[in-house]
Amino acid sequence: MQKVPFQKDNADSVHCEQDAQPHTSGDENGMKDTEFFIRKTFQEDAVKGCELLFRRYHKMLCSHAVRFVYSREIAEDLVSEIFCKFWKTRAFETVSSSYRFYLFRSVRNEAYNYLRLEFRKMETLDAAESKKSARSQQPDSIVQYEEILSCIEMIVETLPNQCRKVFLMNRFEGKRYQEIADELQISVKTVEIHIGKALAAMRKGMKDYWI
Amino acid sequence: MTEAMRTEINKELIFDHFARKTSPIQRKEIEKWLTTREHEEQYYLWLEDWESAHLQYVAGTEEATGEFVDFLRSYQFPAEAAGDECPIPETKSTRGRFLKKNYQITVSAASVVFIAFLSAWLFRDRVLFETYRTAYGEVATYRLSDGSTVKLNTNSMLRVPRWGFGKASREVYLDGDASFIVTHTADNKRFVVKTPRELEVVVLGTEFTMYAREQFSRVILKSGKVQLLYKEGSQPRGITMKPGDLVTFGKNNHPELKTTQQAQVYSEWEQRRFVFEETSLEEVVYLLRENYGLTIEIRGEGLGERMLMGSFRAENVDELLQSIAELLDISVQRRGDYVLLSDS
Repeated sequence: MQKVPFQKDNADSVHCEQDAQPHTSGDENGMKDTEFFIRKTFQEDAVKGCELLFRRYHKMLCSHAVRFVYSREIAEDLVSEIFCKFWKTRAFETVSSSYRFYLFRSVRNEAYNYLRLEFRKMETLDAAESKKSARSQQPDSIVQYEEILSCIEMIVETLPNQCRKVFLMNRFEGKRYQEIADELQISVKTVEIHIGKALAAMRKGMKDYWI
Repeated sequence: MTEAMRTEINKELIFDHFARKTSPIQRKEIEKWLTTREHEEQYYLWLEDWESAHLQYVAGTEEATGEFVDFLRSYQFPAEAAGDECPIPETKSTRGRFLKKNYQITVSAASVVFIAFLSAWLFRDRVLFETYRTAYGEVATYRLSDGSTVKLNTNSMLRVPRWGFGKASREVYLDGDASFIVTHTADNKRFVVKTPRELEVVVLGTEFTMYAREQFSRVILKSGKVQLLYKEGSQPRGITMKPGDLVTFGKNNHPELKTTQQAQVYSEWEQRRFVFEETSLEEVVYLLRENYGLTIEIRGEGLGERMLMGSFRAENVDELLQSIAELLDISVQRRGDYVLLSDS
């Protein structure tokens, strides 16, 4: 097992370059070690510890969240909120897993909830059923998150070219309809139609995933 | 891939899995493997590796860190909360697309929310009481003579005895919604909030929010300890609430106890944030009527039963209406105090 050296002003790059043997299932110590420095900092100065934690995981959590929600802004909001909650609930004092575990699990849960709220159809027959389960249920298995990701990717992938382009500009980059229309030399109405189409495809494509 | 008796779980396989290159059989194996905490830890470790090698985009970490540190520095922990939350995220949170980065600073030891019947009972004894009142759409903060602070939500009224408040007792009467920060007195003098419905909330010195509105009463305790005194029939009764408890009083004043984790949801109006959680359009309309004095008509089959979920900020009622319209994909027209919601 490799130990990763830590340096105080270098927390950003404290990735776990943990490539030892590929099949080290449950390399407990290795895992703990990569967060050792942050954990130690928390004991001395919680604000500093939290800042280090944020710096270390922010980019990859945002990147992971965006795979679900397809919007930079929403992804970053989700991640910020998780860190705020981590602080407000003083989870850093009680967390029994690695921080990574807490954060990745949170971000996946939150992203899932977000999608469920945004794309789940709320009318019709399921209304009664969905009411019961509305308060955040989670997939039973962790693998399901990957299935959802794969589903979303496929939905976006199979959108018609122009439609996907417009969708990503609006959703991922956060551009407004007018900007997109100007940039692509199309009418705002057309932009609207593309977005509507893309969202409908999302809604339809993911309807089987909602618990 | 390994062709042994069963699939071997290793980094390579999990990476393939993240890249969506695994077969259903392999996924089944991974699923089985993932049932222990230890393996889940390992999974996230690899996920971290994989994610950082395949970043979808580079987030503005530097700027975000600055904001986050500001939040860390400015956030004040509630006086007595600390650590009763679960260490592993169980997740709940109903958020909507309108929820922006608003690191709210909520300081509350106990937060109680409350909805009760309106009655003519309150209108007597005008002379004896100082009356604080807010108009539709207005929110105001008052400081009482004992140092306690009250923030009155829109269309609410609070009455405080003109004489003797803080000496013999601390009793106020609420009709509407309010958020209290109650000072603790040396002699542990009780602070009592009375409502029109023979329902009282008794606290010793803490913070809480309550609603006292028509139709039904509700009290939600975030943390701390609060006692409810009420009458069922003619029988006086009492309940001591634990943090997270939610007590709803129906028509016959019969309490129903539920445990919730979302006490803060009910005091969001302080931040001008509206949180709807399985709220039907009809209920929202009711809320708007109570809070803003609007006359609202719903036109369209089954529209009233449509559910709203999510939380969003709105500075004024027009923004709120706009958000609702977007959320439900309906059209909204407003003329003065009259609003029409209809299928578009």
